[in-house]
Amino acid sequence: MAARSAPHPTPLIEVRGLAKRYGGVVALDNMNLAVERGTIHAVVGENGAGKSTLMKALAGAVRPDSGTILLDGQAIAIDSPNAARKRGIGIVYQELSLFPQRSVLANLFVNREPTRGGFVSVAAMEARSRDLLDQLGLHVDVHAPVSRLSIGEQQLVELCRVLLEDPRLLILDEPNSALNKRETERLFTVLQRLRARGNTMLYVSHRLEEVFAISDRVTITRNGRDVLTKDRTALTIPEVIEGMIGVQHDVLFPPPLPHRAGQAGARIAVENLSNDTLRDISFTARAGEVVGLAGLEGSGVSNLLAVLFGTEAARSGRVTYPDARGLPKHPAEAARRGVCLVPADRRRNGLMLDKSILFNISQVAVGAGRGGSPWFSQSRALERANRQIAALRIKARSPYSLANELSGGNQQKVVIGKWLEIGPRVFLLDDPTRGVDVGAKREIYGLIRQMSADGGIVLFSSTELPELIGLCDRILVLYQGRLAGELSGAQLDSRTLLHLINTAELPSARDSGPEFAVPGAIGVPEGRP
Amino acid sequence: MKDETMSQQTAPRAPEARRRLPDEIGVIVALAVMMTVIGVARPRFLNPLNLLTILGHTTFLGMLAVGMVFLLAIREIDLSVGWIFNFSAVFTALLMVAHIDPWICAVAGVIFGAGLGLLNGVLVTTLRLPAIIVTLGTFSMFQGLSLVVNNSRAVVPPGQDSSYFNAISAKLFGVLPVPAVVFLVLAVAMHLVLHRSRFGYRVQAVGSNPEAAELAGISNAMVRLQTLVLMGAICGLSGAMYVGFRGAIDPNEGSDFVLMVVAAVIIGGTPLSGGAGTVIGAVIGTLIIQVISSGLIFFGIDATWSTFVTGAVIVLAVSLDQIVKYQRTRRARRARPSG
Amino acid sequence: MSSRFYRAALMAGTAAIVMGAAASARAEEKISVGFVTHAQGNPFIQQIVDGAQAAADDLGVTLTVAQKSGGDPEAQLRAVQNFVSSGVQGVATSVPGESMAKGLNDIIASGVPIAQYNLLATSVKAAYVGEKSVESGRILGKMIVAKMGGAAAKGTVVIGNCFPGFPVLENRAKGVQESLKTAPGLKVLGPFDVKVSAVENYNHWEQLYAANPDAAAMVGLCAPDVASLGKLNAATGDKFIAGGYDLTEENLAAIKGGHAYVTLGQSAFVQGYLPIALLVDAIKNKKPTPVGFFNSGTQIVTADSVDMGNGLPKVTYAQAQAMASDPKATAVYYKPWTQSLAGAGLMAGMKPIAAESE
Repeated sequence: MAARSAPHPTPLIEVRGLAKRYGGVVALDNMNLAVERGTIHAVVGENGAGKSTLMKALAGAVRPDSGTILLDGQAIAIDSPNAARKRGIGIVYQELSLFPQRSVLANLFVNREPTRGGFVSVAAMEARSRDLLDQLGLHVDVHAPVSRLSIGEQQLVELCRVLLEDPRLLILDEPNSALNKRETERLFTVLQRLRARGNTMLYVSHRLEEVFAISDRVTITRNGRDVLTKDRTALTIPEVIEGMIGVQHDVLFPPPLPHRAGQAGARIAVENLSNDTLRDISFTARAGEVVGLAGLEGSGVSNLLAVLFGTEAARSGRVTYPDARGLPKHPAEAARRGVCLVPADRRRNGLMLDKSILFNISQVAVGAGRGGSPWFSQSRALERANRQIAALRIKARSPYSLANELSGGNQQKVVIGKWLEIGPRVFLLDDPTRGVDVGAKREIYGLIRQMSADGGIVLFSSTELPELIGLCDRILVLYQGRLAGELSGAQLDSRTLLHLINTAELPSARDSGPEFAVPGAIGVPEGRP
Repeated sequence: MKDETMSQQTAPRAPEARRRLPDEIGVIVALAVMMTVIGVARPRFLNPLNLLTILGHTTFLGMLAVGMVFLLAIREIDLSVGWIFNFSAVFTALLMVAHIDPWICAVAGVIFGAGLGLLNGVLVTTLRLPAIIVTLGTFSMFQGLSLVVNNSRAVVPPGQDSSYFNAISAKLFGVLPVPAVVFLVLAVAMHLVLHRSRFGYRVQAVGSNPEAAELAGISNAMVRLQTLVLMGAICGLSGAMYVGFRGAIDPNEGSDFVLMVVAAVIIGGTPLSGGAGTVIGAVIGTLIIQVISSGLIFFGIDATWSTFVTGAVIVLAVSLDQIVKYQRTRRARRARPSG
Repeated sequence: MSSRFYRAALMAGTAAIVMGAAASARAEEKISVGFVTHAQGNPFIQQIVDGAQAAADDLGVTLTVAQKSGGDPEAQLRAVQNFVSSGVQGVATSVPGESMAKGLNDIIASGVPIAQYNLLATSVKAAYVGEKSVESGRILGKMIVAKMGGAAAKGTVVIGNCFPGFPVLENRAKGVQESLKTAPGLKVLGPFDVKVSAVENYNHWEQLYAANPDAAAMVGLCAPDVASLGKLNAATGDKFIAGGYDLTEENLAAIKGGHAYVTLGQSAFVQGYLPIALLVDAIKNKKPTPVGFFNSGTQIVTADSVDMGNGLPKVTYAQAQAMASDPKATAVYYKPWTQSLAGAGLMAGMKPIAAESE
């Protein structure tokens, strides 16, 4: 990790050996960072690499388990968002934290409203924000509720709010995920202007072309550590991607199992599926293969699965299921037709945490099933629970243990178990190994292999490249709602996959950094899907 | 980068459209229409004396409604308001019976009410429970204590020709009852507090997005505590004035206040979903309820219908509120790509 | 904004339509009086309202009834004020709270006569029609003691008050306790709060019985008690003596069925009729109602004897039950009494207000 001679002796902010664990999951593991004054420092990495946690630690939203943070060379503790703010650290989160019913002005000055004569002075708020709003090109009625603005405008309001506090260190976590071309250009102009003024910025992004367009230095993170920090001019995109993937972990992926005869013909055919997020998606998934879905946050992967399960509506297009019918109107119908979804947020959407394993496993069988006795049979529920506990090797004290008491991996098994009870034929798995330890992951991979060997159609989304490559027969990559590409066979390697995910293009001879440094050329070139 | 096809709605109008109609125009029109309809059928209804009587009827409940706006704005409800009112009035009256100067008793009553509100607030913040649950318990507590203290009997302060009673029973310009004036002044003051003070901004922020508020450095717990104390103080003020106005406080006065107060606030346009509050709306809401009450008597409607009509209007108001909210979120969702 | 507008307009429209639909045309020449009650859906109160309606029919005046529930004095005062604003010439109202007094006196001072019934506030400067509350309590207490064996009676007596704080009920309790003292061997418990709504009333009596399973007698002071006590007795084998107030259908049925012993009436018909008569007289003579107490007359009903009070002829039990649910029959039965009100007869029975609690 070469450090060039910096314009100023001490970095504005330094992070040394930061570590943070969430239960069994390691978010940060010896993370180091040094941000020079007056620079835009980009941080890149895959999901789970630790970028968000690092930013949250700097912003006071998360307390690290160990490590030091130095501001101006002095070790400090950032205990709360307020403390961070007082030290001049401002953060624009990816998930907006706006107040929808409140006016733009109220949002811009929340908790710092200027007063005149004891009353909040709307005139002062207008005056102070006018210039900045102008620079950002945000010409909206500042008295209107912020919920009426487009998402892009809302993101700019959030940014403007932080900028108004004139932070010494401005942290931007995916600040333009919802911005269009023009808005992003304006954003970058503002950032460059700030840099010229001497402000320092920390910029987190998945979009490698942008990172190369705007930043001075780049830190690549992986598995909770920093792997490489270099000046942008000394880096190329392939190098960055290499840093992000690193050495393959030798997680043992179970080999494909022999197919069972009889279900070979079943398939899901998706034709021109569109809604607010998805644009014209078409593909086919057959029984016996594991189809992977990959994409950046907001690219539409979760939405696609939700549409196929019936929790989200499609605006146009057609989907034909193995039972020859179309999209389910709601999840209960999906369940009855043998379509199941293992959700990404299992705590919120997959389990009743304060209920027992027994209760959870009977959830779908009792809940969505039609007919049968109106009485809940405790003995049959116990039967189901024991069956799944044995089959999936769920480690729990008893079927009556509460779901809350289980580890992430076992919780996930309960979610899968409750679906297995109804014998589904279509498996929609949304990031099923998130927050699951290695041992349980292996077991879940085995289950996934089993699902497809038994003739099920498996759509498997994940943010971990090794998983996708190790488990899937084909991988569909989504980028901003469109199908950017499909990889199979020889193309299934991390580099190609990561490139496709981040840029919607396959790696080719074009890949040398500086070409992407011009703002305005940013965007998906014409002619690509 | 996304294309320009972002929102169905165009960005809100350019900055010159600042002179928008207030949000409360709807309920004001409703009130006007109601009064016109009744007035045309029963001209006596529009007699200024009657209108002033109706205004007088809104006073004590209306003050509570004004305070409740702050609570509903942060998505909380205080079920104990009727009994804080009662207990404060009893406290004030008992002090007067003990021959303390009535003005001092009144101030003590306000502080007493604030104290009960503080108790609510402390319980809410330390137990980390929603106010509706805590006040479910405290309303019985306050009711019980009040009955113990007044022995289940009315408390009638002596010496009602003193300056306090005369002042409260007086009429400004010969027509406007003093309590009604106090009510209106309180309403204006609270309107300014909610919309123009930093406290009011904090309240609305917490109501709009509690998590974002914490991230912005606003202590949700503090805001909750403060609104509950404010509510208590207003109940105390209402109770103390009630004693001066009616000359007595009965043991069960206030038992059914909370329903009417919440109904008035909701009819007036403060949504149950929080994040917005309208004090003017609450005042209009209280007026609407009393106009309905009065109108029923003017029309000589059978007593049983009156209960039905009052309930029907409340159900209508709440369901329309939900429809509007649903439509707004649908519009917003269509404008915003998810994910 | 437009959606708020729509909803407001819709609200206003609905309210207006419902009001208009249920409204009745009012002939301006007739005298009109208002009648305000403190309870709704209560058979005893309904008997009073029926009496008032009979008076209105007899005297040719328009009667409008407003029924507030919950005994909330403030709401009741508002109703009286609304009546006055709407142009009635007099208002009869029960007074469930001291806080109504000032407002009522203001109305009287402004020239609109008021008459009180069933519940009073002694500071109101108007006529009051009701029973002699302490005296009726004494009568009830005496009957219970007699039934239990006179001065040598022994056992526990439980008293229940459906609305603690109402002076009339407190007086009744006082009277009952006075009489019970004549038998020193009696242990008197209460008065406990037994609530006024039928369901809660029953539940509370049930709990009191569970706490005192060896109670020899249970005495209530309001309208729902005898019915509740009768039901309780029937469910537990008729072990205690039940006594209470008011001649509602359910109460009479309980006594007929042998599950309750005695119920005292306070002549609901009179409590409705007489205030209207007093108001009309006051309106015609352009003066307030006289400040005095008009005894509505105590009625005593047991399975064996029916004393309807007011010097009216005796009736059989069956007839009493029939009248309890038939306002027309009641009006016919009371004819001799209503006729006695002609002329000077109206004011004949008036006593000073203090006499109410003698």
